[in-house]
Amino acid sequence: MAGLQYLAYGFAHFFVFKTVLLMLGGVCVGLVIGALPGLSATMGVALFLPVTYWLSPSESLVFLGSLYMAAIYGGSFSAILLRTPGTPSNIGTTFDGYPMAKQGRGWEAILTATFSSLYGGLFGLIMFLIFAPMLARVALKFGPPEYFWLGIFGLTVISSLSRGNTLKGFIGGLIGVLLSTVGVAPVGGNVRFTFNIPELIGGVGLIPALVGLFCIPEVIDMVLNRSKKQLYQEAKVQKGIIWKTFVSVMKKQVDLLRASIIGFIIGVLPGAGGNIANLVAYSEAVRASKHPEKFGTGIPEGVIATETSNNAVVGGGFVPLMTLGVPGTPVDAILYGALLMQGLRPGAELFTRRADVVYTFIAGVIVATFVMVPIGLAFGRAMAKFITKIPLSLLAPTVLFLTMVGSYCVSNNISDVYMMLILGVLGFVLRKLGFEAGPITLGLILGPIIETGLVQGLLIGRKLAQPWLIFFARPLCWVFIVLSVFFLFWPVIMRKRMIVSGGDQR
Amino acid sequence: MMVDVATATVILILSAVLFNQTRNYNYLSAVFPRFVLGLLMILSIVLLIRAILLFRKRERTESNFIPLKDLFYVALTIVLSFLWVYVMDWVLGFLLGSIVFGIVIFAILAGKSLKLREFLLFSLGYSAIVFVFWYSLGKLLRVPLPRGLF
Repeated sequence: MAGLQYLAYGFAHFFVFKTVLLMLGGVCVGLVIGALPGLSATMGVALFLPVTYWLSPSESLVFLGSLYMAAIYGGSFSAILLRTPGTPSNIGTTFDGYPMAKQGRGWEAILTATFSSLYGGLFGLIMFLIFAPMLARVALKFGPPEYFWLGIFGLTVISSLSRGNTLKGFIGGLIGVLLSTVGVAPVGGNVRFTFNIPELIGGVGLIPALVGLFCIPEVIDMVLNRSKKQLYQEAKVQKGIIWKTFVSVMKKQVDLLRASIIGFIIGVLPGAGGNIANLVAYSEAVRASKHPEKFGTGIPEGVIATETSNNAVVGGGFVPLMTLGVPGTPVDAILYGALLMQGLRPGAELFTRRADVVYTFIAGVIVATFVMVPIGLAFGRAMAKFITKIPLSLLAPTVLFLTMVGSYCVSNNISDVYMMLILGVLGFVLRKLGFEAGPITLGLILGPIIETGLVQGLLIGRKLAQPWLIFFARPLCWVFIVLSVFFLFWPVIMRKRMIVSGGDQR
Repeated sequence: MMVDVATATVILILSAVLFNQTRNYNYLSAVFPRFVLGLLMILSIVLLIRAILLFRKRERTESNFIPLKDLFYVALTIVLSFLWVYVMDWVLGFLLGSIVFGIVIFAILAGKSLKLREFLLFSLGYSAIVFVFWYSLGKLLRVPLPRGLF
């Protein structure tokens, strides 16, 4: 009851002209940043952090929180319209969103993403309000062995992501993991696989790799199809499609709930974020579906899974940040900095001592989640029209320019742009050889989590007779081991079941 | 399937070379790359065997080859992109470099069918986009963009 009272106070405190205006600004900026390939939510929050120096703590947090939520949603636009995830949290949206756009259903895909993001965002924030202290304690039970298995479990998602050729999917995933080992080793300290190129010491950045692997092959495809007038034709918009899509999305309560829970739980775990959640949710949607073969051909269920989960991560990420002072994702780390900058110390005391700030912040982000729907729809419609109107010969250099801006702004380093271009060309060649970008990026994301878990686990395990036994000594490890084995062999089980049922029919 | 044979062989050789490099690293730095490279080698051997078996069965897959003319345009765009980054960084700077190279790529891709009016209109629109980014990033948010010589 006290929580509800505080929330009511938070809403009352939020509805002040200046705070509402800042929330609107945050949503607009977030949508634009998210929609531009390469400009991630992290970058957006980091770029606008200095702007908040002159704001009060609650105003600053409302602005940055709204920007964060809207950027995650905005990333779906470029994923759907250009097959280029705006943020790493939208990788999975390309799988079904882009085929929908190519079929002339881009607007329907954007609507689906919008309502799913609304659902996921609200779910995450409500769960944060209800379960924050309890879940924070569970998150603390995760040690290096658990993170190692969590990463391995994440890799098994590849069996669902790689359509047609699972073997090539796993090879692609391992290529991604191998790319993540370039540079200084996180524990051992050796400089690895740099071939004496100083620019590689810092490793392969996720954003340049993501932009390169997804965007450059698309630009090359545009060059190959340069004689075409547009990328694709948008079908005539049906009357009442907004309401119809809303109803159709809300009817899929099981899909929405599953993706929201996955997103929220992954968000709670420090170190895992929307980039993993959207792929796990997609994989789970494929596994749970009666028609898994339709995924990847342009069905709304694929977009629902990814867009619900990545927005649910936002609320999940606030759990360790606000209750323990442990930032789980890079964006949360910047928000942590914003809290410190305002003289606030994240942790359990924040809820008791500065409940006014926390609840105004949550109230602000809840309102922002609603407000981003109309603004996002207007923005998404304009973007869809723009992309379907301009000729491919102009779209190619424009997208190329955006990719350069996106990869440069990560660390204001021109070598990131070169890296993006090199990985882009490599991505195009690999795609032609049957290796998709999805598993490669998943490997790149999970590589550091698995490596740190493995090496730190081995160090902890030195007290045992065999250090590697530590990976089998904890109950939470076994949960992930069982899940990993199950997911790994799920396609085989499904194939057997299909053969058996086919045989029965005959 | 010959493509798969070649791909698997290249991955196998690269993995072996990188595995050999890990001998120079300490245990904590080498343990994970060795684990990954070992798995990669096993999977590429599986790919190789499968490709050879399919090749023997004479199973044909659809060709992924790009016509020579298209390949020229792809190569030209890639070379121009690298040149764009280099010239932007060292000579022309962010604003001028992006406008010049963007318009050059646009003109090349549009080809002979491009009318002067369209060229001017699209170039102006593209330049406006670049200008908005240059102003908001460089001037408003104070991101240190490549300056070139000017």
